[in-house]
Order: sequence, then C-alpha cells, then structure tokens
Amino acid sequence: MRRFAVLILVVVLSLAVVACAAPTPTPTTAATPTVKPVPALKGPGNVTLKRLGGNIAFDVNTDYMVPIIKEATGYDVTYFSLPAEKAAEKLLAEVAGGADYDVINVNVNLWRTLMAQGALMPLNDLLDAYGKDILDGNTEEVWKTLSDADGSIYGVPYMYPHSQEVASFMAARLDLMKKAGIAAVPTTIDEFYNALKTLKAYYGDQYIPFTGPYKPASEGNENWVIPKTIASAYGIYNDWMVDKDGKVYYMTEAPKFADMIKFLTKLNTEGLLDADWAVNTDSTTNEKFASGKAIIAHSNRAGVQVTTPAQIKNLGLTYDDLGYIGALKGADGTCTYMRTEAINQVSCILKTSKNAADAINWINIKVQKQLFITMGVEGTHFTLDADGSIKPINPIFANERGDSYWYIDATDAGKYQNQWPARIRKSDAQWAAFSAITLAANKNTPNIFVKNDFAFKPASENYTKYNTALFKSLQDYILQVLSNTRTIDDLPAFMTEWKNNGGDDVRKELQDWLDSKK
Amino acid sequence: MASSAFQPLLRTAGRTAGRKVRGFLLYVVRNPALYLMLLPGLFFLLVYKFAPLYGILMAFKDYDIFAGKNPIDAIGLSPWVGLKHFEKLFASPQFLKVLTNTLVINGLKIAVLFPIPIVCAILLNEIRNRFFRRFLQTSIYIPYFFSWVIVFGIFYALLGSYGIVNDGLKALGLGTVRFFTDTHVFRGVLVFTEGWKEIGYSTVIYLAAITGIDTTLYEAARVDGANKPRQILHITMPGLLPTIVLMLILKVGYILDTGFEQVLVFYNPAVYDVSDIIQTYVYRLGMGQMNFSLSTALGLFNSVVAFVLIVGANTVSKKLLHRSIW
Amino acid sequence: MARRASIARHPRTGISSGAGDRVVKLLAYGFLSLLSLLAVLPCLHVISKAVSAGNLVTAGLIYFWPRGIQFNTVEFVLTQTPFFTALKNSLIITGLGTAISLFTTITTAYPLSKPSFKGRRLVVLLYVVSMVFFGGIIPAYMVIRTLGLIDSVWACILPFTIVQFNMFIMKTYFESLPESVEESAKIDGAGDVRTLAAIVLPMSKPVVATIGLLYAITYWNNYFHVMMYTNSPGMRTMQLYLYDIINNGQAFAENLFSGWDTQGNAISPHVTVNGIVAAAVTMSLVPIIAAYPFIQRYMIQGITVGSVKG
Repeated sequence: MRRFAVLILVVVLSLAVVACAAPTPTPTTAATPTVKPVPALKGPGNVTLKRLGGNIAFDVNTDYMVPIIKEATGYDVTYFSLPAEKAAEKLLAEVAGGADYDVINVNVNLWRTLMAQGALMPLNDLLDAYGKDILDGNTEEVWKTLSDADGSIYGVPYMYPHSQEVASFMAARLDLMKKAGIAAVPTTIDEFYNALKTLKAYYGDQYIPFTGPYKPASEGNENWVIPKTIASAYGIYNDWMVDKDGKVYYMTEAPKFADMIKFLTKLNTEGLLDADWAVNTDSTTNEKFASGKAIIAHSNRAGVQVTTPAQIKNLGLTYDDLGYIGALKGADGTCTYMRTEAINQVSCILKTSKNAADAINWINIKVQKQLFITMGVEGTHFTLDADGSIKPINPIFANERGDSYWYIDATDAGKYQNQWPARIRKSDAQWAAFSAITLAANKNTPNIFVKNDFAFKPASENYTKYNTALFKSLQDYILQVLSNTRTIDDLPAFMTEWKNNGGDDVRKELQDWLDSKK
Repeated sequence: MASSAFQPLLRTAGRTAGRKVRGFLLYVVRNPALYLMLLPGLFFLLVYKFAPLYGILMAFKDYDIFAGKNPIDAIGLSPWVGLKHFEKLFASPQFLKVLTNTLVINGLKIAVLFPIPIVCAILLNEIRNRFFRRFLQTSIYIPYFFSWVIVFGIFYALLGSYGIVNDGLKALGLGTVRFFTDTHVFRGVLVFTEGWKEIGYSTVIYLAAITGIDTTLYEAARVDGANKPRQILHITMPGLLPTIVLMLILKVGYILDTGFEQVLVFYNPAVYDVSDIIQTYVYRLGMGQMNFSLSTALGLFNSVVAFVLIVGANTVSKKLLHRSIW
Repeated sequence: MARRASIARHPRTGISSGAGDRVVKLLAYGFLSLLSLLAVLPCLHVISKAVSAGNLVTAGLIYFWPRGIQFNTVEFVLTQTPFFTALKNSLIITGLGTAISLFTTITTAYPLSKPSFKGRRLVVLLYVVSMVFFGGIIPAYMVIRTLGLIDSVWACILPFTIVQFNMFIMKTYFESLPESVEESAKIDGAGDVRTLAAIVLPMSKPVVATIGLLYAITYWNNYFHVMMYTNSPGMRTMQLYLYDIINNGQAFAENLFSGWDTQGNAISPHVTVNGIVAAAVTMSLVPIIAAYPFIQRYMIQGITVGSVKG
C-alpha cells in the first residue's frame, strides 16, 4: 500500500509538470527597450481606461463621483478595487499574470515592490508631454523618491494632505477630570501620570483611567500600539531615527526607550491602564470611551468622529466636557513629533499598458480640476472664508464629495494642503480635535515637529522585505510589556531576534542611503 | 484485446498480471457507464488539483513571481535553493514551541469537541416535535455563518475584562477572569469558540448518516423490547461508525493545518506563549514579504504530515474497526 | 462494555425501557436547548446591534435585546452599500455551484461505492492525494487564468466542483444502502445509470440534501477563491462584501458620519460603524435562515420515515 501511494504521488507530480508545461508557449526574448517616440493620445471617447484602487466598501463604478469625473475629464473609466485581505498577493499574481489595468493606485510599499520587480513603465516622457500639472504640483524631492537611480520616474504621488498633523493623540473626559480635581489638560508626561494617579485614587475601579490602543483590527498595518503623543516625551517619533552624528538607529536603541518602557510598565502595574490593552482594537477602545467606562482614550480623527456624537447622546456631554491631549513634553522639557509630510499613495502604470498617454492625460486633467472634483463648486458645496480657507456646506458636501478621496491619483500638493482641511471641517467632532491638537501645535509649538529622515527614501530591497515584520514584532513586544508578559529585561533577547530577522540589514541600507545624500 | 500483441513481454511479467489487466478491461467494457460517470470528477481533479501541484517546486526555490513571462514560467526560472525554506522553518528556535501549541490546541479541540456533534445528532433524532427540531437545528448551525472577525467581536463583548461575564463574576464577588490575556484560560476560549461556531455544521453530517441506517433494525429492536439507550448503543452507534471514522481520520490528518483564521483573530501578544501556532508564526515571519516559497514549504510540510497521518489512521481503522475510507 | 452488561441485567419490562427512553428524551431536550441558547444569544447580540440606537451601539451597550429601535442602519446598508449586488452574485454562484457539485459528486461517489468496482482504490487514492496536497494559490490562479475564467462565475465554482470530504460522505452513505435493492434492479435489467437515478437516488434524499447543503454553505462562505479569481466590483459576493464593510470602518467614520446640517445637528445619528457591520451581517443571514427549513424538509423526511418505523 505504501509503495503504491508513493508511486501514485510520483505519477501525479510528473503528470502535473507535463500538464503545466504544455500550454506554455516557447519563450521569446524580452523586448529590448529602445528610444520610442512619446505615444499619441487616443483622446476621451476613444478609450476606456481601467483604474485599480485600494479596498473600499462602496461600489466604485456606481458612486456619484463617477459621472463627476467623467464630466470633468471626458474619459470613460472602469474602476476596480483591491480586496480587503491578501491584496498584495492578489495584485502581484494579477500583474505577473498579465493584468491590463491602465492606472494602479497603491500604497508606497506595494508600489516599491512592483517597481523593484520591473513591472512598471517609466513615465518621464509622458509626464513631460501630458502631465505638466502633475509635475508642477509636487516638489523635486518627491519626484526623486519616485525615480530609480537613472532618474526614470515610476509613479505619480498623492501626498499626505497635511505636513504637520498630530494624527495620534488622546481624547479625555474633562468633566470627570475636573470632578477629581484636575484643572487642566496635561501637557507633560509627569502631569499625565499624576492625572492618571489622581483619577485612579478618586474613582477607584469605577472607571478605566486610560484605554487603548487605537489600532484597526486588520493586521499588517503600521499603527502604533501606544499613542505617539506619549512617545513624544521620550524623543521617540519613528521606528527608524537618526542621531546628531548622522547615525541611523532603531526605536529600541533610542536613549530613552528603556525609560519609556519602564513608564508603561509602571502605568500597567499601578492599574492605570485598560487590562485588555493587548486585546483592544479601535472599535473596542471606542466602545469603552463612548460608553463612559474610560476617562482617557487613545484616539485619532476617525475615533473621535465615532465617539463624540455617542458621548453627547449617551452621557449628555457637551464639547466643553471633552479635551484632547497632544504631544506630551518629557521630564527634561523635550518634545518630538514627526512631520507627516510623506507620500500617501502612488499611482503607477504597468509596463504593458496600451493607454499610458491617455492615463497620464486623464490624471493631469483631474489635477487641473482638483478643486471641483475633490471639493465641489463654490456656493453649492462650500463657501470661502475671508482667509481663503474652504468652509463646507453640509450635508451636500458630504453627500456629493465625501467619497472623492478614493478617486485621487495625484494632487497639486500645495493647493490640496489648503483645500483638504475642509474634509475635516465638515464634522464638528473631527474639527474640535483637529483644532485643539494639530492647529494649536502648528501655531504654538511648531518646534516639536521633527523631520522624518526617511519620508523620501526610494525603494530598497531589505527595507521592503523585512521592515513590516520588524515593526510588527516591536509592537508585539510593547504590547507584551503592557500585559505583564515581558519586561525591559527582555530587550536584549528581543534585539537578538530583531537582528536575526534582518534588522541590521535594513539599518545598513538606510545608513548607506543617508550617507549617499551628503 | 490489445494486450495480445504484448504477449511475449507479458509472459515474463507473469500470467497473473496479464489476467488482471484483461479482467480489468473486461470489467470496463461491461460497465462503461460507471467509468463515464467518473470522468467529470477526474477532469476537475486533473485540471484544478493536479496541474497546480507543479507549484510545489516553489518550496525548493526562491520564487520570484516576475522571473518569467508569467507566474508559472517564473517557477521554472527561479533559482533552486534546496531545503533553505524548510531550514528557516525548522531551525527557528520558536519552531518547537509553535509546533507544540499547534498540536495541543488542535488536539484539545478534537478531544473536547469531536464527540459533541455525534451526541447532538443522536439527540436531535429523538426530538419528536417537528417545529422544535427545526428550530434547534437551524439555531445551532447559524453560528457557522459568522466570520471569525464577527465571532471575536461577539465574544469580546461577552468575555472581555469589562464584558458581560466579568461584570457578572464581579457582582458575585468572584473577581475578574482575563479570558483573552491569561495564558491558563486562553486555549479554553479557543476551544469553546471553535465549538460554538462549528458544532452545527458537523451535526448536519451525522444527521444525514443516521438517516442512512436501515429502519428495520430499529423495528426488530423494538420488538425485542430494547429501550432507547440500547437502540442508540447497538444500532445508531454502529450505523454511525463509518462516518465517525471518516471524520476522525480527517480531523487527525489536518491537525497541523487548522485553526489559522481563528487564532489570528483571537490571539494577542500576551498569549503568544500558548497560542502561537505554526501558521500564525509563519504569517508574522513573512509579513509584508509575500514570501510564496516559505508558505509553499510550510504547506508542503503540512501536506506530508496530513498524508502520513491519514494513511496511518486509515490503516489503524482498517485493522481495528475493519473500516477504510478507500 | 460494562454498560452493556448492566443493561442486559435489567429485566425487559416496559418500566425499565420507559425510564431509559425518558432519560434520553430529557437529555435531548435539555442538552439541545442549552446548546441552541448558546448559539442564539450571540446571534441576538448581532441582530440587536443592527437595529438599536447608534449611540448605544457605539458604546457597546447593546447585549441581547435591541434598545432604541431604528432601521436607518439597515436602510443604509441596503441602499448605500452594494448589498444587493453581493446577494445576487452569491445566490447565482451558490445555486449553480451546488447543482454542478452535486452532480459530479454523485457520479463520482456512486461507482466508488461499489465494492466490486475495479480501479476503485486507485481513484480513491487520487482523491485522497488531491485532498491533502495543494500546489499553492499562484498555480491555481494561473489555471483559472489560462482557462479564461477570471472574473466569471465559473471561476468561483470550479474550485469546489468536488469537495473530496463530501464525496467520501456520499460514498459512505451509498455503501450503507442495502445491496439487495440494487441487485433486484439489476435483475430487472436496469443499467447503472438507471439504477442510480431511479433506485439509489430516491433512497438517498437525506444525504443528497445534506451534501447539497454542505456545498451551498461552502459556496456561500467562500471568500478566498472569489477574492483571487474575480476583479470587478460587480462580481463581489456576500463574503467579499462583508469583509469590505468590516475593513472600512475608518473610512466610514471619516466620511459617512459627517452629516451635520447647517444648525450643526447630526443628520443620521443612528448610522455608526459598528451598527453598519452588524446590519450587514444580519442581512447576510436572512437568505440562510429563509432557505434552511426548505432543505431541512428533505433531511428530516428520511429521519421521520425511519423513526415512524422504528
């Protein structure tokens, strides 16, 4: 029987090889790149473009944005969206198998992978011919990031629309804090700690003093498991940082990383944290804050958008009862928060695309008509303040332009930076937090913002390969600290594992790139 | 018969073999319909199951999906690395731990949960009220349709540190059980939720098997005065045995290969020690890398183990119970 | 063994057998009611969330009964998300797929259930091997692509043409049928096809219904293959739709809950992220709960016949 089984296996395997090899035509030599004239436009009406974008829950072909974009550009476009899970695997299989999308809009990591594999078309000539507005809308530094060593551009950028947003912060119940005798929103790490102590002493087990983290349940994201506004007190603002001498180091090697871990351990052992910190997701953190179980919560704009209306209804709160804790200062008075200036999404064109010229032309028209497409018509969807900032008219702004962000391929970054806050302003809850945290920090303490040295780093092999897993294991380590399963004493063991998993390889790459810039 | 042309050759191979082939061909000619019936299934097997097996080669290569004109071409052109991916898998200091976790968690699930659907099916069969039986049957199978993400949401509301169950325990002065972060109870949560979601599905299978039992047997038992417990023990159970054996063989066979989605959604770093299984470990190891080779290597390892276990379990079953799935 | 002995010692009186029957009955009602309660409560939790006031849902204050009933969220899910596209696709794939799978499974299981069938062991082994070994998703994807099935209903059906496990269940059931019935058909001169269609299948209604149900569940619940093999938003099935809804909480929060009118009042306060997920899941259960009793009718038919006789 056993021999029989082995025999079957062998037969089956060889059958499989034959079956697979058969339909494959004889290999042809790869087309050699020659200097080709810039392809001509086929023009709107003569071509239907295919655009693939990120995962989304509405039907991207029946959305109200489709006729709006058609009206603005004249082009017919069929839209596709990536699946919720395994999007990268699927896209790679599709592209390698001969997908025929004209425009692919993906995050930077995925774009790097596609580019590194040589799947993308260089866009320099096309941009010169048809993409003037796209080119002018972004800085030289950004274009360099999107180019290979020879200067060929492989994508067009959709920049993060705010260069200095404090995106990860804490929301707090001022009413409960006042009752416990805390007069002001904490601004230093010590004040924050004392506030938590006071709350615990005053309320006992009635409330969770501090809940978090705010992280989407889906894995593989780059969300921090602690608020960046706590790390700010320890000089920690990114996974990779650069010291005064230009040396690259990882978060765990930061001078005050151990202090931060000890601080978190202290919070945990003194019962100031949600006991389910390691289990929580954005939705459970929101629940605890919105139901009145927690006094302070890790949050972000989307978070307060969910919790604030519920708190107003459930707990009878007003906006005066809600406070927002921004980047905390350390014991020595330092405070660092990373600038959010970065490439958000990249739109790229496959090497095999037959409509590349029209695709670039289409994107360029969208950039020209950016205000109409993303914000609408003055007087109908928004009004202009005296200072020129956009004030949305609700609900028509939300109803007719709410989904516009999904259809953006590239922007005139400078202009969009001024237009985009309207998207937050359409919601009181988001605007309250945004003004109290981001606008205030930009006005009062702009010196806390530090540059992300790697925001405009081009694709590199080891970083693409290892960094996501490294970051995940770092977040896991912090969560283990927060749930008493590991301590700062385990840091050396963590670092050994980190090195085994490619940490030093990534470091070297980053260091080399940094040095090459000088 | 075509075989006559090969008579001289066949003679050395032995007359019995020739007779066997001839007997076989004769049987085929006499029962053509039976073989024609097999064709749709075999066509599917060849095209969708066996043709892709070529991909197993990826486990021994550093697969680069863009190495060729298409992903299949790329398999052939990717560099051969032998057992590199298996070494990465097995040489890791974590491997023993995650292997143990996999065996313990899935072993517990089999030990605790395997008998329940059998009991359910037998007892459901005893419910006479038609409406009530339909209600029971529908209700216990509905959870199967919830994805694990939803199941987690439900059970977090129930079992979280500030959830309904702990509110109750606190009210009774029993303290708090950290269902999701306590290494002593977390596996219990995995087993319980697995049961909650899957029992209805398996029950359906056993119910079908019960309907296949010859009803005259029950009649005869009734005449003999055998009561319900005895009927169950002597008629229903033996009648269910082939299905039970089949289910058990497959459950044991897939012991390394199940539970990934559930664990991925339910676990958290606080309980990695007791819940990190092979697949979740490899998932984190390869996060962001799209390492098709590593996952193929893991898949192949799991397949070989499953194949050995299934063939082994089947042999045992044949010896002890005289039941075989083939 | 010990148990069998102890039962044997009891005199075969009506009383003792009645007591045993009662114990079984008690167990049946007690145990199953408990189990069904365990299953129903969490479902009530999801349904309650779907129709409760948004502020309470967001706060996680809805347990097993709705509070502040509203249907805005359900309406939102039905009108503002592609629920019906997903429903239509899932129904087509499930219906067509189940029919095809049942056909191939029956025609495969029947010959293999005959002890005298020559080549049986070889074919069964092929199925066992194919059940265990898997070439990976990339080659499978390329098969679908080479066949030109990408983005079609057939791409979602082909992977489950035969689920080996179901085929073995079917085969086991066919084997359990009394051989005498088939023998008499043979004597009447019926061929294999007619025996299968006219004698074996009518006797196998419960298992055909059950396997049909298992296939329907497989097609309905399938996420992975549909995700890999289809691209168009118009091809999204219920599972893809649900994952999209679950995955886009952040986007919903940032974009859809911003309906504040000129006075600053919230325009649709009931629609919340968690509410949308609960409503979508609830609505996706409706076809299942509606269809199950019909399938059950066939599954129970066999049982009733058996129990009436027994």
